Amino acid sequence: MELRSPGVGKVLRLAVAVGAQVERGEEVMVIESMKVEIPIKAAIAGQVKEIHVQVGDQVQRNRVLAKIE
Amino acid sequence: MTWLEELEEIRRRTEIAKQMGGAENIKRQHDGGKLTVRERIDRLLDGDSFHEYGALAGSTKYDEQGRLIEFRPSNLVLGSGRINGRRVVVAGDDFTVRGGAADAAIHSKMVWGEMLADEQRMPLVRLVDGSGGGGSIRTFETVKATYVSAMPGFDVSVRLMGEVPIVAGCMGSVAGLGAARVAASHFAVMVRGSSQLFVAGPPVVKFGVGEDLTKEDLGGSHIHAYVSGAVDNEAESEDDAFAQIRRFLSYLPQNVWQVPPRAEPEDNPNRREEELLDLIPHNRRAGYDARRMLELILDRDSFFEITPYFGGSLITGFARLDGYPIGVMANDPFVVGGSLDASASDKLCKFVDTCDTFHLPIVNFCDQPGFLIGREAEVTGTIRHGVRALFAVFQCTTPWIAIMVRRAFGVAGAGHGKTTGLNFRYAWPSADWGSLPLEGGIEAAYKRDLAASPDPDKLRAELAERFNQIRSPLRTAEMFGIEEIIDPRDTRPLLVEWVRQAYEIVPTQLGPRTRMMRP
Repeated sequence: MELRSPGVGKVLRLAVAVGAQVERGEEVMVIESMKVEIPIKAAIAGQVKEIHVQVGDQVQRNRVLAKIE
Repeated sequence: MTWLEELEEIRRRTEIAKQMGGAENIKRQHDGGKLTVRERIDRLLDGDSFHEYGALAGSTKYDEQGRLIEFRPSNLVLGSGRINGRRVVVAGDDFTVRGGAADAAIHSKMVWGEMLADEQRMPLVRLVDGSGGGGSIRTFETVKATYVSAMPGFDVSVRLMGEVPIVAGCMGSVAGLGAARVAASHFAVMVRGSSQLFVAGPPVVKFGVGEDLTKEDLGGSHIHAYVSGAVDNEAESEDDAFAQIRRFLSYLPQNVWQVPPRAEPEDNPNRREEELLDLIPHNRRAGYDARRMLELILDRDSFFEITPYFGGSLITGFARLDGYPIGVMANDPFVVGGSLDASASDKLCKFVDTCDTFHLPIVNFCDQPGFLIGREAEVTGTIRHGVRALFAVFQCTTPWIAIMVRRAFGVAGAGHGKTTGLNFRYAWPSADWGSLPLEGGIEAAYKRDLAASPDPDKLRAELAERFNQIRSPLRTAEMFGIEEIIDPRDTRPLLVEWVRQAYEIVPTQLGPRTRMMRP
């Protein structure tokens, strides 16, 4: 499943790398939007298959950030 | 001679009406995972409370001797019944009869239902399916002419929104007039997977603009409850939709001339939750669970969230304080920092107008960083939708209180309440406000100094330190810029005290608003 950006912002940090196993609700990365740190959490448990952004990237709402299977 | 023979004929036709579009069409409806209109009405209303009007309406064929040989019931089932013991009007489309499209009897029945709600001052529930009584090309064949597009009785529907609660369930694939009847409501809910909403369905869309889409891709709940805001809530099943409709109505009066109904209070009015002491992090960049905050303060399990996904940076819903119904708003810091964007502004307008129309006092938990900024925010017209939201706040006359949880910045922050009237407010110690936040604000105000400085980072840090010293809300309180700073644990007892006073005022404000609401 795809994790998408809930709004406009900047990638502040990545919490996991491609290949990592994550639990449902685990933090995958943090986006900063309107000066608030917004944790992007795994919607399902599984393996991180793809990460499409790097720290510092500017993202728009709905941008695909990562894929978990 | 008795009238038994005529009564028998009435009974026979009523029985036929109950068979709706016939066994085959009913099976098709069930196979599609949907209930029939009569099953829907039964499940929505209190047991056995439905009283039907116009069951005899329908299209008929008679033989040469004038005997009825065919009776096809109207595809709008209309009547009144009870929800939580209170009477409502229900108008449900019957998709098993000609897909719910207009026929000889439906339109006048529909208008009569709306007039009934208007004159008897009862809530109206529309269960919309199919084209919802909209015109069909086939009508041209019957009438042998075309006609100027019109919506007879729409004036009643418009007036009704300022007088009684209107709730719409989007129960199937709904287009045209049906879609308009869903949108023109105080609360609209659609069922995930089995209902879709669109101005025009896939065949018309394909012909008109060339898009080849399924019904779900064109107008499923994932679009309208999340992205477009055309409906408020998504339901998991038809029964869930009925439960949501019943719950929505439970907070509202029967009409604008009545006081919203108080429920038996079931929670301690003086409950003080320790968790509130550290719910808001000292780190201003960290978020917190705003819904948890609401749970801790409002009557237990009383919060009913309305429009939970669309405009997600603003949480809106009905709740109770000491049993009294209220409207609740809170910013969600986890969605674009809780800022007001175009969709949240749109949502705010409808919500505040609804509360104001039905005289529900409003509690606003303010953590407002300002309007959303950036290019997308500009393209979506944030400033116009945003000031429209502020107008809704300032036009609202129902009692209002703001809990200043954290941020109140910029023009959007000024909309935490009516700053020109008696604006009741309590601030928490975490409060942080201004016309512009320090972060970013320093960049704007000291742009030249920063550019000229040999060490801009050092200067920026010095400036931030200087401003941080005057940032405490205590400094604001010294100037009476905020009336009171409270222990967050006292919020519930103080709000209970406020709501009791608010409900002393509500009875003096009853009746329609001079400016009635728009959907």
